[in-house]
Amino acid sequence: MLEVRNLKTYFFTRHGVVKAVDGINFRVGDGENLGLVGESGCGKSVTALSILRLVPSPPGRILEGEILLDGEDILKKSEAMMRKIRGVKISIILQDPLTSLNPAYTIGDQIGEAVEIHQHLRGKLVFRKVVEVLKLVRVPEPEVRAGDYPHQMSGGMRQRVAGAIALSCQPRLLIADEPTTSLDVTIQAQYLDLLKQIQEQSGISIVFVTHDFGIVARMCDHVAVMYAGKIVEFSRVKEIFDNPCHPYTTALLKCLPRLDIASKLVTIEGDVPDLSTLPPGCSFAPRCANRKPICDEKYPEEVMINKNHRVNCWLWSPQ
Amino acid sequence: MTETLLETRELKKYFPVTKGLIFSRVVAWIRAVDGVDIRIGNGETLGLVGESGCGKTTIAKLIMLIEKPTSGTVFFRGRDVYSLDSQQLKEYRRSIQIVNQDPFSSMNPRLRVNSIISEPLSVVGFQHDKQITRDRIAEVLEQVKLPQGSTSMYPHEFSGGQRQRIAVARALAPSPQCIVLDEPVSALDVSIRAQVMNLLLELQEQLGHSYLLIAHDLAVVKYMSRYVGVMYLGKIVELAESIELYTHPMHPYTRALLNAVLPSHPDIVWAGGKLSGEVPSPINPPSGCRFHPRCSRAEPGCAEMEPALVPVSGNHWVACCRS
Repeated sequence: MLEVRNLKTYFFTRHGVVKAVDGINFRVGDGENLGLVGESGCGKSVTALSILRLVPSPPGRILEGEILLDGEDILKKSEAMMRKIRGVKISIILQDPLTSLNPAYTIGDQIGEAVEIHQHLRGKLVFRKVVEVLKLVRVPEPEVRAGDYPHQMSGGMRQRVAGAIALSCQPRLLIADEPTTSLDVTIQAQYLDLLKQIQEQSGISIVFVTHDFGIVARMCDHVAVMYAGKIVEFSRVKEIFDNPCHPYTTALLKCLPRLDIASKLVTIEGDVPDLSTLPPGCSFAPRCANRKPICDEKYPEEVMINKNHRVNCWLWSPQ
Repeated sequence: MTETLLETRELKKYFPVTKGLIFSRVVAWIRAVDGVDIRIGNGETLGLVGESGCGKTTIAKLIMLIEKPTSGTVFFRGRDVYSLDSQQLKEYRRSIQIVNQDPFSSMNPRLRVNSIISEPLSVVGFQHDKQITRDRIAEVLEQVKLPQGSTSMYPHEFSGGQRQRIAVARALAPSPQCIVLDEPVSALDVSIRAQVMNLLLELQEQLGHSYLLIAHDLAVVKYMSRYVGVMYLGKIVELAESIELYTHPMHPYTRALLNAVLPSHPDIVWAGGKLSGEVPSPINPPSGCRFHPRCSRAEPGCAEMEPALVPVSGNHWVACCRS
């Protein structure tokens, strides 16, 4: 349904070119969930914005690549056409609902705006639709809460409203950019349950942009691990937990404390690299425990471990 | 159990809610901390977990003497810290230090690293001897594994993980006996968290200080602490040794929190999301047991009687009428 081919989004700044997304490939099937996992600055949010063509320009620019939605390249569409895709076919939930919602309008107005523009509803029909989507995301007393301002709601409720706006026009693809990072654990659990239920009813695909492997384990079918603008490993979810191939994935899975295992944490030495001054070879090489001489020279080619599992690492390279 | 270092008794902090700009009057009280008893032994770590707004950070502020309690006291080595004279107060402030959540906002961007670290030292009286101060800065930088050359740099020249190390170095400088860690890793990148947590544990092993760890991440608390207290709306609902709490949680809220933790493998069937509703406002907390409106095992009696924190076995304390 969605296919991203060799996407490159660079930012041209005074301090040099930042290769935020540097030639990534992935696809999302109908009703499937993809997890884009990585640390801050690895390009996962820019990937999400690129799919919606919302990268701030300047300084950002999508240099090359294709983003195919149902076979059509949306990078070739005009801005007017794009407006008909955003919100209708693809929509997004951002990390912090307090900054993504307008504090000066009631939530009913904000959900209504999307409905008016895309579904051309007017008057009472708008309000009826607003109540309907608020019911969908299980906001209690939707008729009353539609008149609330964002500050009158709790964090969990606000995030539901952001979800309601995104889902109001029945999109086929939802991009959830760190949807639960600002929520408490019990509220996060409720929210993920809700997304799962909505997905079962409507069959939409969701791309989860996250740094949390727990969300991936719970919600996703496929996972793409990103590091410094590139996808370093892509596979089915179960496989990445059972048989992680890239040293970064392996370390990332072991460096977080878990409730079921009490062993000492593995540390990844060094820091997240600066995207404007990347080394010529593999970007993870300076922090990698299995580094070889070739890692510093050339970026590794993609290696297929099996049909659904690919990795970019010299360890797996046949050479 | 080791000797008690720090103890709170019936600690309460209510914040007023006021109305009116000029003739403002108090219309309600936010009960941020409502009768908390905790104790930290020498060289031990006590973890406090709970959702946002449960009063974890207010406890840290009360212990750090940033806020004054409404009632109740904090005892440090058996002495009431609110009735110390100025000399003893100086000593207390030296003995207890804090590492804040966000290393980007907890440091003055206009100070160099050596000024940041030497600031708490000036309270102890090091400032008269420049050589001793310099030696001490070099020593703590080595302890947190930062290069010696960093002393003349500014905070913005460091990454998040390095900045948090500077914050740890600043806390270590006056050789405290207890360090309050307020969400020490939640603002850091995932691959950096383990570095900082392991560093904090190693430092404790070498230097023998205690930690009061405040976090919302149950796994972080489990990894770092010996004792864990679970807070809900300004009260401790369960307190036990870490292993005991995670293997035999007694309070329904603790169980719900543990259930809400995301699975570590896709094969694990997730029971999460069972807890309905949200944390009520601490302005008018529910009567009786504060958890009863969300509790799956609540009985009519739960709304009337407020359960006290009672021991159920050895070091395991629970505040629930049903356990």
